[in-house]
Amino acid sequence: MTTSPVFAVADGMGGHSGGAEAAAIVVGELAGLGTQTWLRPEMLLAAVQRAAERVATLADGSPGAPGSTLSGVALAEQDGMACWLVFNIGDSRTYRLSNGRFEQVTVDHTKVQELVDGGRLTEEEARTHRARNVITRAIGAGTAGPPRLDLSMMVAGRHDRLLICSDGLTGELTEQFIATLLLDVADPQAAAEALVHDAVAAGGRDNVTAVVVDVVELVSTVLEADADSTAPSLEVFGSAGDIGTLPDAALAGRGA
Amino acid sequence: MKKTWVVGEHYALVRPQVVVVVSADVAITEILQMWERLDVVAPDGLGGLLDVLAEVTGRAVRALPDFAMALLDEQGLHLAVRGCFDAEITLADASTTTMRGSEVSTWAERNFVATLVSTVRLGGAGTGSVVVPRLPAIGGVFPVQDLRLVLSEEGRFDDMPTAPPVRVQEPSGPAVPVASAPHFISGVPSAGSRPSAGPVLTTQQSDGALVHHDGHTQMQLPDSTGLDAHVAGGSPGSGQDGPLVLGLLCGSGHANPTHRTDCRVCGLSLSGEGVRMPIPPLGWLHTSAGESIELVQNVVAGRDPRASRIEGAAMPRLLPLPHSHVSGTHVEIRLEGWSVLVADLRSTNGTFLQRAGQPVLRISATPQLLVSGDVVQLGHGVDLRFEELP
Repeated sequence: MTTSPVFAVADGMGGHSGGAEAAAIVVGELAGLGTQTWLRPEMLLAAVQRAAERVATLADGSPGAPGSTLSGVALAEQDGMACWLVFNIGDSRTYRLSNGRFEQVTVDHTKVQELVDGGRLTEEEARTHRARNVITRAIGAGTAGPPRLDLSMMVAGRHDRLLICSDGLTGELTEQFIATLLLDVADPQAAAEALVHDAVAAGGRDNVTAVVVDVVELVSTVLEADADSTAPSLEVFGSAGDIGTLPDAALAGRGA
Repeated sequence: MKKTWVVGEHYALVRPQVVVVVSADVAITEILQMWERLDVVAPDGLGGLLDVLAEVTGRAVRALPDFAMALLDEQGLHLAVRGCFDAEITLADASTTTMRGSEVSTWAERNFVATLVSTVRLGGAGTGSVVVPRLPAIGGVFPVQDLRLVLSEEGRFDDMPTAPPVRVQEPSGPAVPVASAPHFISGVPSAGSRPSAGPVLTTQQSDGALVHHDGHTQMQLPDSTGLDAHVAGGSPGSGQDGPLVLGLLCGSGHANPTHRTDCRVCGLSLSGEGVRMPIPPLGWLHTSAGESIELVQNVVAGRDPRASRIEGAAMPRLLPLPHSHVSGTHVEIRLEGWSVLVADLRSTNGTFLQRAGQPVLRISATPQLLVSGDVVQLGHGVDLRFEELP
């Protein structure tokens, strides 16, 4: 999904075509939010809720109900200030490169992340732990109740670069490698393609999807006071690279 | 306010609207003296209670023994903890919050709208492994490990039993019950036993079984505890009307906390019954850079502030303070009921509270109540000033 104001990766899971369908449903609901400049958190939550209800109908009672992860950002606004509304459920990730600092801004919903949080596993051990692919939250995949989406909010910087990716990318490439590449390759499309290419070359067993979002221009309306500040001028350039090594790889926005 | 206790090494002084737990290094004679004092005159707020404690122990206010205290009056439930004691508060919406005396050099204080509080546990770190009975208390002095207060739905003193009264034997422990209770109450409901508002969910695999999917990513179904917690939190879409708070409306329709006798906006005198109302704006935050923010939602401030893992759609307001000595995410202003609280978010250079006529206080991760005129300082002249708080 690479259409402003929402940039996201949904990674399907579940046998046969169910996973791909689940991811497509999630992406469809997000695309249905339209292309207004800003998104409000409740609109995002409602779209994910609708997606979860539709994904639940894919389950046919056999083990391994279809499901999808979801990670990404949406542009949100607070008193004229542009913010990133960061969302996550499952083990896809969103990173931010800002002023030379590269960091993951989502927290994985995985068994190993719980062990790391509990101090029972180091980050390095987690990378190679045999249970690293066990996730604890998802849209669908047999979960009952409303989807438990993590939300966070941060101020958008005028030089921010965001990376949204499936676990197939971070499973193969170290964060150091990813950070260096994102710093080196100026063009977002080229950066996304290089990341996916390298992850696949490194032996990518899972599907690999990466979206790189660059802020090109950010015009704050905070100081332009009153009446006519309804249409802040903000431009974001999105780009995506995608190679599906498994049939249920899903990158939303493709062809949309 | 129902009270139960577990036998242990501290002393608890229990009166209908006041509870004080102190460490056993306070002489029993001093505690009994305090008991007598409180029998004669009700304390004037937490401050009055602290004065009594200082007086009977003969210590300066800054050298008081470790304590945990709770006081219920028409202005709400007031809690204070110091030293080895904690207060664990379960709110009516089943969320919990903890005040730790060990995190502050003096003591930590918080005020709650009593109707929003379900239970409070006052005490030291739990012993956990030993199974000891939890016993009811009406009044007296008890040797306790901890003391639990259960507030009734209305947040008022309520001695009417909700279950048929059950007579029990005198506690077998070394308790010194001073007042003879007409009856004790058993089966005190805990927050967890309340009927859940959400739908009842069942999981066929609550044992944490792995669900195998595409041969790579697998899903582990949450255990039932996780589900219950989520159900109690409500669905994301259900909270759009926002929480309600008990308050008084003046003749001009301004919202006021129930403890006020005149309107905080127009000064008209207030009378009549409290009504449930949406939480109104709680005043203003002015930054030293000249920005003004109306307090209608939590505020997270810092050099590059981030609000993480937010539940529901209620977003905090982000307040960027572009100064190099300010931490990325430095301080949070939290709105709870009628209260405006400040908490440090593990900042590098600290957060300080300047209140007229008082020494500057360092703010810890334990939320501290703010009043009008307070200035929260982040160093190097970066200040947040609070005005028109309720």
